[in-house]
Amino acid sequence: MMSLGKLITLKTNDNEEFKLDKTVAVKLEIIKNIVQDVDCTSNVIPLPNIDGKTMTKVVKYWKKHSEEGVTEVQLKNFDQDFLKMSHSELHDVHLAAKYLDDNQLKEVIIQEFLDRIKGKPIEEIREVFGIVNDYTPEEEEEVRRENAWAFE
Amino acid sequence: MSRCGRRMVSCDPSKSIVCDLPTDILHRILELMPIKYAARTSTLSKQWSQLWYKLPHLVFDHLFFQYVSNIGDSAARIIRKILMQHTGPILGFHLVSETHVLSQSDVDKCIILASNRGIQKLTLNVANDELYTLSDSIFTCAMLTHLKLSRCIVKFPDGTQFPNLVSLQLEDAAIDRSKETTLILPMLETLELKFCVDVDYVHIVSPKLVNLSMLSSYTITFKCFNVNMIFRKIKHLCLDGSSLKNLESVPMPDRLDVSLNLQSLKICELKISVKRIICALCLLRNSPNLIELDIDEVVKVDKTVYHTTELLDYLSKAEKEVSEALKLVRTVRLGKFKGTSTEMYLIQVILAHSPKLERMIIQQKMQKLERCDEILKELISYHRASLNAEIKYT
Repeated sequence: MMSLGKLITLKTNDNEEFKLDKTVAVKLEIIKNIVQDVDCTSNVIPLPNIDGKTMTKVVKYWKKHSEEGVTEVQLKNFDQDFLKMSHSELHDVHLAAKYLDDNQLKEVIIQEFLDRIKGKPIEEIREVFGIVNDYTPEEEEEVRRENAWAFE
Repeated sequence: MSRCGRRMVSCDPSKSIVCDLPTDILHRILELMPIKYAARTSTLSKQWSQLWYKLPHLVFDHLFFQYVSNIGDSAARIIRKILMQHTGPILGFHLVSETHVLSQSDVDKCIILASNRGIQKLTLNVANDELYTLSDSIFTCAMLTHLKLSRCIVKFPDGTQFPNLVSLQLEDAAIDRSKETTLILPMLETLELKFCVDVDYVHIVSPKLVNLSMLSSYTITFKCFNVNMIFRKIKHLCLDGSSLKNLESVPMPDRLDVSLNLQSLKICELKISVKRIICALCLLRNSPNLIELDIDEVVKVDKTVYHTTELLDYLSKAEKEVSEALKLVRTVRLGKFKGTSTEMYLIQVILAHSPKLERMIIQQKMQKLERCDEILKELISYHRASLNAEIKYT
């Protein structure tokens, strides 16, 4: 309940700064490693691969998920709302999570991509994700035949 | 013309982002969906068909078996076909269905196909009436890291080695006991045995084992802790009431010959009796590094009134033993809490004798107990040996 009150500053590639409670920040492997190397109270940790817009989202996610006394239901509702973003934003958050080595956030994003694809008709997936069909009709027919069991 | 039109579908860069995801992530997405949908994505584009034919982990779960039976096809035929079409390494192969049956020969064929493709993770859990006899080809899979077998008869050839195996889980499995065998698992970290018989016919050499879970397995005795190296090294031990009960079937030593390396002890379904508590205390007292105690459920406490009084009587007299057992404990979790007087007494004893306690986590069995506020009030009033002990009641 008592926090150390120490703040860490994360600086994105477009020079946006995020001040984070140390107890939140050191949950991440990459930041923990940097923090161990330097006395972080005065130092700023640069994040060369992440922009401010994406980092705002990531920090929002971290803060909610480290809130004292937050219930599972509240987190579930938060996640649902949090994930309402475009494919490309989702992609950016995924890259950031990957860079920050945040497995939980990575899994959440993968799950969201999955939910956007799962069970949808092929045409709809192509449309939603702009996947170009590079098969000839004969080739497409053949792949379909090879996997006919899945199309019953 | 129409094809041309299809090919020219404008590719909005913000949309095609999903194809730019790294292959491992796309594979992960496909692996998380029912395999039927993963197979369908092969018709999206050439990139996606390659993703499907090289999918590293194949999961045939209940949904798959159900679907196949609904369309009146043969699961074994489809699985074989998928394995034959597959062009990449098969790192994971999982057959899991609580209700569907695959014949011995079908499972054998699948394992033979998967076993020479670099398999690392294998799960076998199909609902055969008779135990499935594990195919010998599995013993040549040197890359295996995770092996999970249910309802199987396993006949380990003597001197079997899995040089990379990290986790071995056996459930409802029987070990062929025609002769004692040695199993060499230099990398094994996790061993879980649930309802297994004759596991004591296998001598496991596993210098790296840290997690051991034995549920309703009938071969563990305190003698093990003295003679078997495995028990000296493990850091996390999980037992249930019946395993603990087997501990009490041998004369209880006050001190074991060696001290254990346990960091956490989890007891599932602790049916309260003095003997079991003595067993648990004995384990704790001989584990000088133990910091975590997890009691998943205290069962049938109030129906055995006699045992309860007996227990209270014992605990009130065994202050020295209790203090010694809880000397270093920092976290205690009591799961499926029902608010019975025995549970309350147990908590009271733990709080009063754990000077290093940081967290006492009490998780209710049901959503909200009626006497919730009353219980909480009582919990807070208990004397705590540790000034830093926090009670979390959820």
